[in-house]
Amino acid sequence: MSTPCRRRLMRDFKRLQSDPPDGISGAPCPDNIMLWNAVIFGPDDTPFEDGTFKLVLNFDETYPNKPPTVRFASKIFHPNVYANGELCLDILQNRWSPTYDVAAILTSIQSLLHDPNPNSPANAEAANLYRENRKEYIRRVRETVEESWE
Amino acid sequence: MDAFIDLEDPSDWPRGFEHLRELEKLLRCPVCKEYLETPMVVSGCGHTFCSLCVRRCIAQETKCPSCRAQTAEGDLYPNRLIESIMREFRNGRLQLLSAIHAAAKSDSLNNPRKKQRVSQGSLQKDAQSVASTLSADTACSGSNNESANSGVVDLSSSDIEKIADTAMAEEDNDSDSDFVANAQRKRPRENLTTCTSEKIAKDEETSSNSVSCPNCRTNIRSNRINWHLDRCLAGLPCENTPAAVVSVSSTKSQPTAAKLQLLPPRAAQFALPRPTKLAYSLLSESKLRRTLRELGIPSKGDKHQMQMRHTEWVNIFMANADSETPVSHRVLLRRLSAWEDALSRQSETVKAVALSTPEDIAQHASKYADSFAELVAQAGSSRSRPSFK
Repeated sequence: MSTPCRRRLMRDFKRLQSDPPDGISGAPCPDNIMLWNAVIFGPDDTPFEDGTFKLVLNFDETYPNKPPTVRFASKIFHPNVYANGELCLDILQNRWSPTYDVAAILTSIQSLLHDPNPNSPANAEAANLYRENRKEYIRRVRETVEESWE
Repeated sequence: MDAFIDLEDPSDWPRGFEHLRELEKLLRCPVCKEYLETPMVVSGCGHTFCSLCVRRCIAQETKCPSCRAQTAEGDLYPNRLIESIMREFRNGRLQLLSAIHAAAKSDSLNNPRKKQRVSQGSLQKDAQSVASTLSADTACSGSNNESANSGVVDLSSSDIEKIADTAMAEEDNDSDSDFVANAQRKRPRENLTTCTSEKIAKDEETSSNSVSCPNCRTNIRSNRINWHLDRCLAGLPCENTPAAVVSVSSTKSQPTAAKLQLLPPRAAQFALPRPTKLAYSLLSESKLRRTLRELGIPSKGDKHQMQMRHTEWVNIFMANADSETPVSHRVLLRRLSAWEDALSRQSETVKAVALSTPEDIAQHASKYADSFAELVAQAGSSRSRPSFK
């Protein structure tokens, strides 16, 4: 069954395979092209370095006109990630553009790990520690990094 | 998943041909990533998209999808030059890719050190030698399965196509030329293939405009591809229909084109009124239903469904009006229904995989533990790989 959305997802997959951004991978589930698994490596020179964070992307037929639902499947301590793994990221909400593809989404999430936005906190504790007690923030992040290897 | 890899893609260009890769990217729509179909330029910012893609975007948010500049339907203008450039690019694409692969192969045979260099002379090899190289080496990455398939035309399936062609002519006389460009693109591919049997050559001659269906991959005559696609995507039988079998004998004695001319131009008789944008909040459900009926589109469902359908209809209709080769309104109606079918089907599947609770996600992660492990390995290797950009 081919629809414009599915065809676009196949293209996204091909792009991700042929030209993968650094430390990023993703693929649709073998039984459902609308459901993708992805992995993001924590960017170097950040507390998330060496972390292997799993994500799940859920698309529907309105893609790429509407963004997919993206959730972390790994535990992650980050000012813009809710306890249930949902993200607070503008490009996945009001600043979504139909020109984005899976590679662009994952790259944006990777750069969110690099540059948290404590002004729109999804995890108040992480946002406070990030602003006021960086050392403790790093310690808590490192905990989740170690958990991500399991 | 192997089907994914068959998609024609800018990544088909090998290293050393980055300019062509970029050129191909530029000729593709930033929204759907397909070749631009009826390209429209946004007058304010100059970005170009498929007419239907940009119209769908603007219907949702009045902004340019690329730069978010304020944009309305009135700001869109057809970009005919890009359309022509793209057509020529697509015509030459396979020819060039085949020549590149052939040259690279003979280069590496003659001089393994010069593997990456493709000399000017070898690019100008005649099509014959390129063709023989191609058929000898079907594993060329740029022209994988598809060209391999077209080299070995399945006689029985091509007969079926001819039959189906005639059936199509009888059932529907829409002159869909959406895929004519597609057919032109495929032509060099056919010229390049070496045909051994006489019958194959004859087949090629009669169906030189055949294209492969993106859905089921059978070769279909280009002017019938939309008819086929509509049926194929709707899951209807596309071959061996009773009507098709009946017309076998007439196909052989009478060329399809001649047969087509005998049929009355039904497409011209079937015209629906031009829809306009509506302020849905000011319309009652019954008024909207009446409007839909007047426009000749289905008027079932609640107000929200009718609203979505009307919006999509305006987009499809206007994009078709922008096109240099518009299709009949009958075809547009089928596209509207295919669009709606896809939406309603997915509302069921999406519910089935709603991963809303942490437990669901944990379960999902353990179900796909192997897949995640593979992705971790992949992400690791892409990381340590030297950058080619």
